[in-house]
Amino acid sequence: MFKLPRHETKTLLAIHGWSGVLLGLLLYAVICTGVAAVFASELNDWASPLPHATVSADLPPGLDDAIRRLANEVDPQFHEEVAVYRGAGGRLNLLFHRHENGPDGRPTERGVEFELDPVSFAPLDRREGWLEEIEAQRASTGVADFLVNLHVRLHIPDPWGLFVTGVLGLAMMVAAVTGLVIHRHLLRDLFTMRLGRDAVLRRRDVHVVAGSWNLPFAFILAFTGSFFSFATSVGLPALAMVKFGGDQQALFETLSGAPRAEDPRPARLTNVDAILADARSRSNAEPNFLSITHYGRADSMATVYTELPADELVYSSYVYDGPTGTFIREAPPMGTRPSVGASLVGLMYPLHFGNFGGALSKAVWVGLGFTGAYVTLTGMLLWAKRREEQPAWRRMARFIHYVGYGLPLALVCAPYAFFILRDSDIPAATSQGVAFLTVAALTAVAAVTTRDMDRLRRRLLAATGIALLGLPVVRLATGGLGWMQALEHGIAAVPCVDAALMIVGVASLWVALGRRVRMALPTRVEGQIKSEPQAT
Amino acid sequence: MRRTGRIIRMSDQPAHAESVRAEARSFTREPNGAAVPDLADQDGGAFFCTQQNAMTHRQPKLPAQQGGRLRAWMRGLLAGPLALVAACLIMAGGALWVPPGAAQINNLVLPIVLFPLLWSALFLYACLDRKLGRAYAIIGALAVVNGLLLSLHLIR
Repeated sequence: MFKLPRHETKTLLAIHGWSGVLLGLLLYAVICTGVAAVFASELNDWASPLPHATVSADLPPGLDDAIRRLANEVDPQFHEEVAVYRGAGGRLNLLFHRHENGPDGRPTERGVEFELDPVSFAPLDRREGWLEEIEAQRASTGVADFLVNLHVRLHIPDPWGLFVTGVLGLAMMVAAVTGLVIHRHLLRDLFTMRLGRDAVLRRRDVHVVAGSWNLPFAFILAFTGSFFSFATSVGLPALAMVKFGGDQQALFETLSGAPRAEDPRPARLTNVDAILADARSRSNAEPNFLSITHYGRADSMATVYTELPADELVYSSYVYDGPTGTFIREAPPMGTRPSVGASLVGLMYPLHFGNFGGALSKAVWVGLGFTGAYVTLTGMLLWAKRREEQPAWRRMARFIHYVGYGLPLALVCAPYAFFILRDSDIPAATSQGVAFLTVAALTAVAAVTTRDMDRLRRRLLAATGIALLGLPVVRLATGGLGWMQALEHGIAAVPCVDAALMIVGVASLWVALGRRVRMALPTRVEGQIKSEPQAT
Repeated sequence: MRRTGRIIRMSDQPAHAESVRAEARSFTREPNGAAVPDLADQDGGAFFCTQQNAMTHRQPKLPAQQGGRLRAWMRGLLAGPLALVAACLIMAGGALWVPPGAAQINNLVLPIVLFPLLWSALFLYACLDRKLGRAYAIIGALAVVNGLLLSLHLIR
C-alpha cells in the first residue's frame, strides 16, 4: 500500500520500535489507567454510593435554596464564582471560590466547597483551602481520582506531569503514524493471522492485526491526549506571555468571552432552578455544570453546561443574566461566537473521553483502549524478544513483564486501601498510593526471584484475577451497598461494576491457568541457549 | 596494530550479516510457505526474529561508523529537543500570524490545538530527510523566523 524507499522504511521501522520501547512502559501505564478512567463517574458511584435512592438529575430542583443558604455561610470574597456540579453517587458539590495565584505563583482557585445530599440538600462535608487541598479532601471520589491523576500526570507535580504525558502522547502519535506507513500491504495485514505452531509469528501477527485496526483510534487518543496535556502546561502559558504579558487570567477571559463591565452594586440572584429548567428546554439535554460569577452583584452571570445532546458532537453552554435570569446567548466551547478553533476544542472532549453516546460509546472506547494497551505491551515484548541474546535486553524483557502484568495488579489493589481506610483520617490518595507502591514492590521481588518469565506472567495474572474477585467482597465487608439494596435505590453502578470486576477476574484466572508459554524467552543453561517449549 | 585488527574483524561482517538476514527471512514466510522479503529484511535483521541474532555481537567501530554515530546523535538532537523547541516557537509565534477570525480567538486556539501535529511533523521530517544539513536549515529557519517575530512583538 505504501511503497516507500528502503531507507525511509527502515528509518520509520526504527522510529516505530524505539518510540515504543523508550516510552512504551510509561505509555502503557497511561493507557491502562485511561481505560479505567473512561468510567470514572461510574466507578465513583460504585465506590461511594449514597445509602438511599437518589435523583436522576445532576443538578436537581431545590438547588436555588441551597445556594442561597450556603452563600451566607462563606466569606463574601468567595462569592467571586460559584461552581455547582455532580459528585460521587449523585452528591452535589458547591465550590465558592475566587481566582488567585497559588503559593507557586501559578493561577489557581481558593475557597470553600460543600458536599450536599442531592435529595435533602443536607451538607455531608465541607472542605476549604486551595483547590489542590480541596481536591485532596474529596474522599468520595478517591478511587477514580487516583486513576485519573495517574492517567493525566502520572502523579508527578504540575506542570511536569502534564509535560511528561504530553510527550508520551506524541510518542504514541509517532508510533501510530509510522505504524501505518510501514505497512506494505495494509489491507492484507488487517486480516493476516498465521495460527501455526510458531508462537512468535502468531504473536507478531496478533500485534500487527490489533495495531492495524486500532491505528485510527490510537492516533485520535494520542492527539487529543497531547492536546490536553500541552494546552495547560505549555500552550496557555506561552500564549499568555505573547498576547497578555503573562496574565493567564486575561487569556482565559478572552477565550471564554469578554467579562461584563464591573458593577459591584448588590443585586439578588434570580431563581437558579428556573435558569436550569430553561437551559434544559433549550438544549434538550440534562445540565451537569453551573457556574455563577459575582454572586449577589448586579454584574453576575450564570452559565449552564449540559451533557452532549444526542445529535451533537460539540457542546454548547447557555449564558444568563444573574439578577434577571434573562437568556443572553448560547456560547460555543470557546469565545462568544462559533469558530474553527472553538469547534476543534469542542471535538477534543468527546473524542478523548468517548462520552458522546452514553455507556455504549464508553464501552467501545474501553475496548479500543484495551487493544491499545495490548498492542503496546506485545510490541515491547516482541522488540525485546528480537534482541534476547543481549543480557541487557533480557533484563529489559523481564522488566516489561513486571510492568506489563504487575501494573494492573497494583492498580486493582489500590482500591482495597480506599475501602479499608475510608473512615480514617488518611487521605484517599495517600492510602491508595501506599497500597499501589507496596504491591509494586512485592511484584518487583516476584519479578526478580521468578526465573521463568512465563511463570511470572501467570502468577501475576492469577494474582490480578484473585484481586479483582476480592474487590466486591471487600467493598461489601467495609459497609458497601448490597446488590439488592442498590437496585432498589436505582443505583445500577454497584452491581454493574461488581459484575464487570468478577468477569475480568475470571478471565484473568482463565488466561493464567490456560495454555502454557506463548512467547517465553529461552533460559540460559551453562552458557547455552535452551528454548522453552512452545506449547503444552 | 589495533586498527589493523579492527579492519580484519570487520571484513568478516558482511558474510555474518547475510547469514542473519537468511535467518530473518525464515520468519516472513507466507502461509503457502513461499519466502518473501519483509520488514525483517529491511532492518538489517529480523524485526521479530526469534533465533540467535549474530548482529548483536559487539564489533569495534570503524571511523566511518563513528561518524555515522555522530550523525545519528545529531539527527536525534534535531528530531527531539530542537524540533520540540521549534514547535513551541511556531506555536507561540502563531498567536501573531494566524488570522484571529470573526470570533477573534482562532489565533489563540489553533496553535495550541495543532501543536501536537506540528511537533510530530517536525520530528518525522527530521528523521526522514536524508540531508541532515537541509533538515537543520529548514527547522532552524522556521524557529528563527518565529523567534524573531516574537522578539519584535515582545520588545514593542
